[in-house]
Amino acid sequence: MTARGIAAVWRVEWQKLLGQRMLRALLLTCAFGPFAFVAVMRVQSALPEDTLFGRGVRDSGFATPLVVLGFAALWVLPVLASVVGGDIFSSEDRYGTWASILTRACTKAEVFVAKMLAALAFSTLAATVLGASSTAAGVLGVGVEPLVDLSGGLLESAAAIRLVALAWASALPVVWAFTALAVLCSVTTRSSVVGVGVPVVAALAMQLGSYVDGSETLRRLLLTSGLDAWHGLAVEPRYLGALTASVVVSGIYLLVCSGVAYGVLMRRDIGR
Amino acid sequence: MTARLVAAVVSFAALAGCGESAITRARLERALAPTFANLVEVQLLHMGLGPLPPPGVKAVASCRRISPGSRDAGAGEWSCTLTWIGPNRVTLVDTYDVHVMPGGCYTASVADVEGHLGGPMIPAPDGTLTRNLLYVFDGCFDPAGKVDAQ
Amino acid sequence: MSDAAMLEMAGVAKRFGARAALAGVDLVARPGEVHGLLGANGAGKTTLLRIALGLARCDSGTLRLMGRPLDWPNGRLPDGVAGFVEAPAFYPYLSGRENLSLLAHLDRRSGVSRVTECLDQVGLASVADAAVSAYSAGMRQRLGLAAALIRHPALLMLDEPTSSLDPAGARDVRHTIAALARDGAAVVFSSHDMAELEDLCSVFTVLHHGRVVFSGVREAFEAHVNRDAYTLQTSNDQLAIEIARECGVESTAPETGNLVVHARSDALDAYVIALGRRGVAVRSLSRQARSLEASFLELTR
Repeated sequence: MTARGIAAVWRVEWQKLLGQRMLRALLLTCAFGPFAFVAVMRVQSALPEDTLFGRGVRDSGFATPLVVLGFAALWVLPVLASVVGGDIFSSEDRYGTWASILTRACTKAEVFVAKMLAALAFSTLAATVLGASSTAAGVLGVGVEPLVDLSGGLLESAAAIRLVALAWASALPVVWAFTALAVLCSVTTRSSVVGVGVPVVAALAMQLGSYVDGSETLRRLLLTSGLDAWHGLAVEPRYLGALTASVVVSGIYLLVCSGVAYGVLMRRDIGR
Repeated sequence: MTARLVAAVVSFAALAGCGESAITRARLERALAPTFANLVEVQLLHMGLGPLPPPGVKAVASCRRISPGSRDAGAGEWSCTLTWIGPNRVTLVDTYDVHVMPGGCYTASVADVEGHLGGPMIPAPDGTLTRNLLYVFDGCFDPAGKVDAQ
Repeated sequence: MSDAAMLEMAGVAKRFGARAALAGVDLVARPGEVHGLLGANGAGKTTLLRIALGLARCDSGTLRLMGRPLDWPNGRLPDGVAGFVEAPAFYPYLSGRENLSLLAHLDRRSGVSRVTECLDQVGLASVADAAVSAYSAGMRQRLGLAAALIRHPALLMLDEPTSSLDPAGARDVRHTIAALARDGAAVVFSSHDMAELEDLCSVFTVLHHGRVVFSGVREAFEAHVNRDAYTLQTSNDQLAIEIARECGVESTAPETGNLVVHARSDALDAYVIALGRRGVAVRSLSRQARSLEASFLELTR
């Protein structure tokens, strides 16, 4: 396996991804959706009170990205995480193109690593676009008034931006873990429906599980708990236990799912 | 394969319900009181009446769970009484209905809507109505946090 | 085995569950050779080519491409080795040109001119910018050949490359293959079209139920099956057929009116003598030119 080989496959994968209309539409929705949300908030009387910071969404523009993050944690982020990871391997099965790409100057391992990296990169890009556009929409549409945090404190612009950036960054390990889960489903079942669908269903099941009142330790083993771990950054004094647990749990999911998917692909004979 | 994967995840999710609740009276009281106190200070600033001189607002919370089951632990519905010293150095008592989620986040709503804390909107210095931060507020605490023995 | 061989497979075996798809197959392809791989459906041709291209693992045996062993599962196909198995597949939402460009990038070749050259060579220049979803099966097959040609193959392995082509298209592919062989490439391809192999191939390997039943040059192939067919004109065909049965010689009476007997030369001698003894005159006796198809069918019966 060489870096050059991985880079060659990576470039081809990105060319294919950006050639897919659906993915371009998804990225555009991430870029412009938050602006639509802010526009709606300005005209309607109801506020998203079920989501943290929803009550303050008209008071400070910095609440918007945190509300969007809270809402996206339900199913949007798992979908963004799975839409490429769940299809990038099984699409070769769907089109029958494994033999075409593996009779080139790249090894199976290089193809696996490049596709995995491309899936992770797309998930990261989509989440980053959503986070950045939410912030821009809030700042431009509502303003830069100080943000009231979850312990009643007042955060000026710099501190508020820092919180928003850290909150969205804390979601990335969970997003990567869901991407790896999607890849595992896609490689083992060779189906894009399963590859994209199972992680989303799993996320919903985990969210439901997190609503059950029980052991905090067990709750933190659910991947989706990591999408709420940023709450510890929005209080004073901060608590980082949930964030640390999220990074560890996400890392385990990422390694195990990627490792098993790699093994399955390596052992596979290519052909009908 | 797909069915097994989904069953595994759902079972795992259900297991999260096992074990003792991490939502305890002590953790809730320890988080609610300073949050309320901070919000009072912010509210006074918004109304043009702050900042208060040191030591600012001090509040103490006393909570009991009113959902079925344990009175001292568990997510669900709680009733919390906040005893605090107001701007005129008068001791005030306010009761909140607090809905606590298993992850440690809560929503506190004023129990007495006719009380001295006011309604959902209150007048700002310029005469416009501004959101009353004390009417309903959200907060979070660490469900695994240490609480000093009392 | 010769160091000059481009492809060397020795003792290759492959099982799918309880079924032995390949059992101890040897195959050698040398520069300048067009090596025909023959066999009925399910004989193991595609499985063998899949193993040779590094797409599947053999359970035992060795594989060397251009003198070097190919690792499994992470082998890199050597430069100059190319081919396809079954129907070559492409991304339907991209054009033929875009598909070939992507594959060229995977080969770390970025020359637009090479892609254009290969598309011209296979006669797809006029449809190069149409989406592959609009291509016929024959056009995809030609695109598959173009994809292989991008690699400047010194060893080309093709699985039924003309099966979906019209006669003109098939002829063009055969010309391309012949030209590659003249330039020193080794070409291995499987086909069901016996006439096509007859014209093109100098060497054959015949597979039957996963085993090699013949491997060698064409003349040896024909000599391997030493029962010839003879056309016979007699004075009494009815009696001649009866005598053939008594002598253990296979005979048929096609509508052309002449008898056709299948026999080795010594059995034929005994039959002719028996005819004479029973008063049946032999008016003419000639050996039929033996087709490759007849030889193949004989081997795989």
